[in-house]
Amino acid sequence: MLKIFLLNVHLIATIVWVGAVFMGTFIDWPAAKKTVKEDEFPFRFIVGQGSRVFYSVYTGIFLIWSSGIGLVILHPPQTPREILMLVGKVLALTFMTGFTMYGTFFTWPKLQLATHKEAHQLYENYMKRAMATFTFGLIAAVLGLWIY
Amino acid sequence: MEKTHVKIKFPNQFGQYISYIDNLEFEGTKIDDFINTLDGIYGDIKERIFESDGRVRPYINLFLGSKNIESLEGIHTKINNGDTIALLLSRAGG
Repeated sequence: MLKIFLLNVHLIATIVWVGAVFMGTFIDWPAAKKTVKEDEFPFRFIVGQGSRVFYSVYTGIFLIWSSGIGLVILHPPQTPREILMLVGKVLALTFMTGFTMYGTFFTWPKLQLATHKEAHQLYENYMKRAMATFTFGLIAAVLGLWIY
Repeated sequence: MEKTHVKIKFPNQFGQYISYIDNLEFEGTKIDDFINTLDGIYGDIKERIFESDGRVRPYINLFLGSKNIESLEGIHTKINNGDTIALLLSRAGG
């Protein structure tokens, strides 16, 4: 029963986090930059979105790690293949968490105070990390399906 | 014109654009004069704080003492000698 509960929490947290990254990267940014002139940055929309996504992303991160640790305790990997997949999943989650925290502590404070030109450069780099986060999220999710 | 001396408490991310100064004497008595002085000395300050229509960016909070200037008279808020001006950013991003 506890295992099913943790699996559901893990799944929902993954959907929230990876879904938020997908929405921000592939839907919102391409649309938002078309709403302003070429040399302008859509600060109001992007930072407004960033303020809202902050809580869901960090709730997702906390729930993924805590439910994941719980699942490993309840169902420790048995075979070399399971161990390898768990290591891969933990590495993917570590990169995702690292990219996300780097964004929160370094990129976003700079972005909020950037000029339009600086903001474009900062956000292009941020988007590359967001795409990497999304890719690692997919890898972690697929590995999770194989483990269970 | 009257001169006003203020203490500045800005986050490091902003401090780098104003050489990390922690006080300033400027001509005038309003937030607008203060920002214009910073902009004149360091450049690009208005672009970093205001939107193109002149409003403070919505996720940037400028405080005079303990009060957000948006709850006072915005950029027309009067500053007294010795007041502290602080800037806080909204928590965002991930």
